[in-house]
Amino acid sequence: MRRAIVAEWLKVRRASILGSTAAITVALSVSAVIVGLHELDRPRRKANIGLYSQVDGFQAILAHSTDFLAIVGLGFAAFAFSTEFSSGTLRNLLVRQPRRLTLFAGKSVVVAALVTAFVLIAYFASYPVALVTAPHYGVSTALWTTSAGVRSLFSGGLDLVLSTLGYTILGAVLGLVLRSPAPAIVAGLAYVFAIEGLLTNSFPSLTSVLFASQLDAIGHGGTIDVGYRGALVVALAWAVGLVVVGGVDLRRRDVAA
Amino acid sequence: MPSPVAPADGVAIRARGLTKRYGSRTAVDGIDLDIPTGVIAGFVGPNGSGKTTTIRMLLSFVAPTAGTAEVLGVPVDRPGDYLPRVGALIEGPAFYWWLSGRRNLEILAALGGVSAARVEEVLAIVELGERAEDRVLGYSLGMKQRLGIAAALLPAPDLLILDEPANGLDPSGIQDMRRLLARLRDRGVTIFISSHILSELEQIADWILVLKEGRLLFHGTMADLLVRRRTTWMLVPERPELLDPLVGLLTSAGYDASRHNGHVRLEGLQGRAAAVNRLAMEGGIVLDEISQVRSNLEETFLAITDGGER
Repeated sequence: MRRAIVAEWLKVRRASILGSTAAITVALSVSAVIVGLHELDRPRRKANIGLYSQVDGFQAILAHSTDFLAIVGLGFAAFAFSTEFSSGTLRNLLVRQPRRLTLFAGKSVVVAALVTAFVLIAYFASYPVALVTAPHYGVSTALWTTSAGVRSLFSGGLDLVLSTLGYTILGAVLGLVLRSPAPAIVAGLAYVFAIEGLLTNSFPSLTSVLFASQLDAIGHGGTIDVGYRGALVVALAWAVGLVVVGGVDLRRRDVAA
Repeated sequence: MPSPVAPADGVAIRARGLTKRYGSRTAVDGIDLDIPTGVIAGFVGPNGSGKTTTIRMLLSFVAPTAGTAEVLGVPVDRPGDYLPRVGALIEGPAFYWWLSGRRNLEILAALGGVSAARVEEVLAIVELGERAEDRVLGYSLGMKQRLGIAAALLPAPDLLILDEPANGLDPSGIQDMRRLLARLRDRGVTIFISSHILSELEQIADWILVLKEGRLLFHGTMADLLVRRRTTWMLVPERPELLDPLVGLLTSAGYDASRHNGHVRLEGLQGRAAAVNRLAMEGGIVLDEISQVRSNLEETFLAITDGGER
């Protein structure tokens, strides 16, 4: 698998690709901070100022970014996996590495590492922005820099990474199964932002079962409807199931591209 | 690096009853073939005849519905055991357009455990060294094709499978490729080449396979195929007004003769030119020219595929 990792890294290590993706992710995260602070102008101003001034205030402000990062993780993986089929480059790769699972395992490692890096860069780049901007909106950041605040900062970063990696797995499997970037990305976003919302609105009990709800809960460190640990277990089961479906499809289906 | 050892029985590609069905459509219909090692084998057939599907099965991209196939002595369901010794260019060159030609090759080299020095060697072989740092986006079709051939050569293969490798190449590029393939064959590399340019195959192939509607119509040496060429004789009388009398004379003597733009065409005559000449003389017709026209590979191919000859 080491060869597959090196080959994938050679493919993506262009400064322009990495730089632009990191820049987009940082821009989205900083936007999420600004949007979060602007919400303070709304009726629940006092409550929100109190919430944002807690040790985990930064994560609360950044809660909006889970949706942005879901798009980045899902879209990046769906594109990276499906393009090999749609562009025909998979033919060359499979001649040099016929073990399909090994080939895509190597690709998964690189994609997961990049998504993790992008999320952490965006998270830690938006932290100083929030630290500087929040006091202008009446938010005290004193607790953010305490040892509890710093612990919360790092655990919040980990939650965001885990949540985004979940969306990345969904994007990767859709890319493998649908084998074309546009259908894979559209199907993923439609499921996450429309279909699952409709399902959980109609059947609220599904909130503790469906994949995106678990990822959303993980990204927020748990929600009222879904506990953090429960979300981790259910999301892990989903991730394993998706990987098995993707792996079986990859191994058994003809490559006619 | 891959082992240069050829299969013990000297057969590079073997298939028995190899079949691929997509629903009710049969793309490849029970083909049997044995391609010896060290030859250039041409694979010809009309569009949709099943050539690419056969190649996909040989490369393990597509699983056969029935039958068996072996490549370099290894069953195709164990691609990891033979593909490291195979180079392939399938369905045109496909590369990461945003990367340079060299980087594309480096990716494939890294994946196959091929040294970086070999990348430079194959770039030199296909004469792309000077443009290796350019993005593939800016390459002409011919340059992409050469890059595809370079990619296929990366592992120093024992078997090279090329699908329409001359597409987009200019005449000098085609000539270069012909020389390259001949050199590789001389080094013992088996080359399986699918092409629509039959005149090219006629010049370089030792072995030929003709496929139509998924069935193998001919499979054997190029010499065996060329024996089947039709020979036509062209007779030109000294006086043009004697064309019709000459046709009448030959037809009444049992020959298959017909008039064509200023000459008489005689089909199926096997070494009896003197008899025809004598017959014409006895009929008072002096022949100004007797010449033999042999059908080329394309015409022979069309005769086989139209007639369904096996």
